[in-house]
Amino acid sequence: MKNPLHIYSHFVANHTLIMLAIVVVITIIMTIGSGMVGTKYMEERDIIPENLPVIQAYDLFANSFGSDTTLMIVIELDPEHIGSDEVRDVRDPRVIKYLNILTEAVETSKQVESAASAASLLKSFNNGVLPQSQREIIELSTNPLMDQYIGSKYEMTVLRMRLIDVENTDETTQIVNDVQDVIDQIEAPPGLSVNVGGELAVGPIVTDLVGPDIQRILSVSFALIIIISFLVFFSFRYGIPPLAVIFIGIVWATGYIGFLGIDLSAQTSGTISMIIGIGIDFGIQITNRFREEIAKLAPEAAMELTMNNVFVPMFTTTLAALIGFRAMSWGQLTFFGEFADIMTYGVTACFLVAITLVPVVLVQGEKIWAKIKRTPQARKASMLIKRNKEVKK
Amino acid sequence: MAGLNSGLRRVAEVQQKHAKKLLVVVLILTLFMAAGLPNLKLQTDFSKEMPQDLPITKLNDRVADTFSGQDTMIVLLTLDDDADAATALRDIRDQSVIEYLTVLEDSLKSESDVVDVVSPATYLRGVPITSNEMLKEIITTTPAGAFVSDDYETMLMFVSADVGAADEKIIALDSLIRDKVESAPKPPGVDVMVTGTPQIMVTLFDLLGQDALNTIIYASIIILILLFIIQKSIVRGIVVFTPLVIGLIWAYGTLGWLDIRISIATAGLGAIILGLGVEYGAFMLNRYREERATKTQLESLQIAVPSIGRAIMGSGVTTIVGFLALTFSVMPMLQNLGFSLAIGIFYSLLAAIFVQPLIIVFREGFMEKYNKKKLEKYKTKVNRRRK
Repeated sequence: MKNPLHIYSHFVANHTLIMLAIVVVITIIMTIGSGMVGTKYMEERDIIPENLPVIQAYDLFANSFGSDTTLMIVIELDPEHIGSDEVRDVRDPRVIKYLNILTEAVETSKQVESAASAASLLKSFNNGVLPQSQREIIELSTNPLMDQYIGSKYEMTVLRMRLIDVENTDETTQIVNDVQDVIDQIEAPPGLSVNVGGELAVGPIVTDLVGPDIQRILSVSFALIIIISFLVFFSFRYGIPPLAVIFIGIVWATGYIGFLGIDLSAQTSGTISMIIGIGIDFGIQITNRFREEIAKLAPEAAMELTMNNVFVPMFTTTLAALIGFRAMSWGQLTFFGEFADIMTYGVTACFLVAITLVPVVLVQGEKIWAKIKRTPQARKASMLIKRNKEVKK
Repeated sequence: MAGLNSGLRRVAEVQQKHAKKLLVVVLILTLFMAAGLPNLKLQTDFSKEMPQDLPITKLNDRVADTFSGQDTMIVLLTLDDDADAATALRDIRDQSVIEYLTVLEDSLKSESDVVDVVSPATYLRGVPITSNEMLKEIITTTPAGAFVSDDYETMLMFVSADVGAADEKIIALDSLIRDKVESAPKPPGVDVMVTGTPQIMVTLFDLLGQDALNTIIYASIIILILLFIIQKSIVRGIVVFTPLVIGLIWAYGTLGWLDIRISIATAGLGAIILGLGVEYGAFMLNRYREERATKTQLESLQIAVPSIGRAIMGSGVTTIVGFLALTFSVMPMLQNLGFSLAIGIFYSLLAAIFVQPLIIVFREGFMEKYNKKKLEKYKTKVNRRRK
């Protein structure tokens, strides 16, 4: 019985166009999947297993009272002109009045369970009536509860919002934008800087950074790998096939990830660059060996021998790498599972591209190169052969 | 390329000639690196893993500074569905619950790290409550109502504390709150739980440490088994695995010395280095054995070290470059991940090229001596019997 590896090596070396067609079809499908990969923000509690008591207790709290994830409006003193009537103390009645309007406005939002500010506390201390004079405000502000809302130097005050549990990044972005709209619509007293703050406000900003960050890392990664690939081979002809592994490998990997509905977070966005670093190796190994064999053999025979020799070591090293990644997923933190999954898909995709596309590129490249390198006489002869064939037809 | 080749050839000669001395040097270096291991710390503060120069990060830092970096812990009182039906409460708005909260609140407020405690009891102090019906009415009309769930099964207490991101402080305060919760006389049929972001951070801290160690153990076991199978020998499997472990100690030691914290992104570092680095040593041993079948020890090393050295350098450099690209990220966590992995792979390479041949030579010498001794013992035994 023939060795299955030898059967495959023979097939891939001698049926390059069929292999190319298969690779093209898979790549087209995976390109669609790649477009489905989104970005997301991961919080601490997203990476901890849900069956832990502390998380179960937190879930009970979130279900009963909304989330404790802090979203706040931060009001800071920011006077621009000396001697102007700009606010110099957040206990200024204008600020309290402004805070009261803000509090009532954000409370109308569907996602806000409740909102609390210095204004709402002062009202509760004053039988539901907002104190109008600074003297009254200062007197009532001595209550220790106010320490959570007004800074000790009276330079900052916060409006804290408790939210209905936000499920995903889109919802987070929505609520942050809604709060920003409220801030934009209500005119603040002069000399104040008003911003959306809190842990929750970080999410949309970091999520927006993930895309450009991946692009930056990939650009650097590709540039360095291209330089190395050409330095290793000192040749464009042999420098390009290994690059095919990472270009197509990344498309296949991200396509698969996209079809599975996995979004990239700030934590997992680095996997793509890691996959490139590991995946390029497969292409280099095949190209290196092929280059040795092509000196003695025809392209098809050289590729068959190459595949027979490099497949097992490549498979073994891939297996060892995958073991390393899978071991990560056996950790308790759920983040490791996702990280390991993406690395596994990526390295496997690069391995598959290396054993399917690289032989095609190398064999076909060798044939094209042989044609280009022919002498003018040989090219003329080739044209004559072609013309004769057409006349006969 | 020729220079690298001759350089590695020279390295092989030195390795063969001075294996024992060089192994001692490796041991000393490894001990020095291992001394950095106790400096390793875990990074559980997510905010430190995000870009520090963003306006939102700076704003949140200012808020944290202004409000003393207060963190809110949540004490959750909930009706226990499994409790004895006769005595258990059916509505959390009960006088006994408020009494419990008052005791707990006073007890917690006496702690120096606790900045503030707010619960329904805060709003009901000094209010004469004579019945549960009266309590329910008061709760509905005061801010205390915000601390009771709509189904009247759960009640809240917020404990604000000045613990910041100091893990030890969080752990201490968490156990303090739990102790207080347990020591106060709990109403029948009520479960009390403690949660909140600081507790989640403590849990993350525990899991991070466990995972960093466990993933290395899992990866080590499986890779060792794989090596035993591929090398068809336990000793050869260990010969390949030893430099890998040395590389890992160097990598973690470097992180310790450079004060780079193990974070959520780098906790799986060990498993990845083991998985990716194992090929270097395996290739080196295989090539050496291939040559050793027909050549002397020196000749075999002179072929294996330069040829495999060059090959794995090429392969390792591409991997390192892929990892180092991560240092161009704006996220500190990815920068650390890229740097840590690059260091790990670099050390695995160094260990495979410079340490593994030493182990091979030492092991061969040891086995030679061992076999000689065994043979001499056997000869003496045979001679005695003959006599």
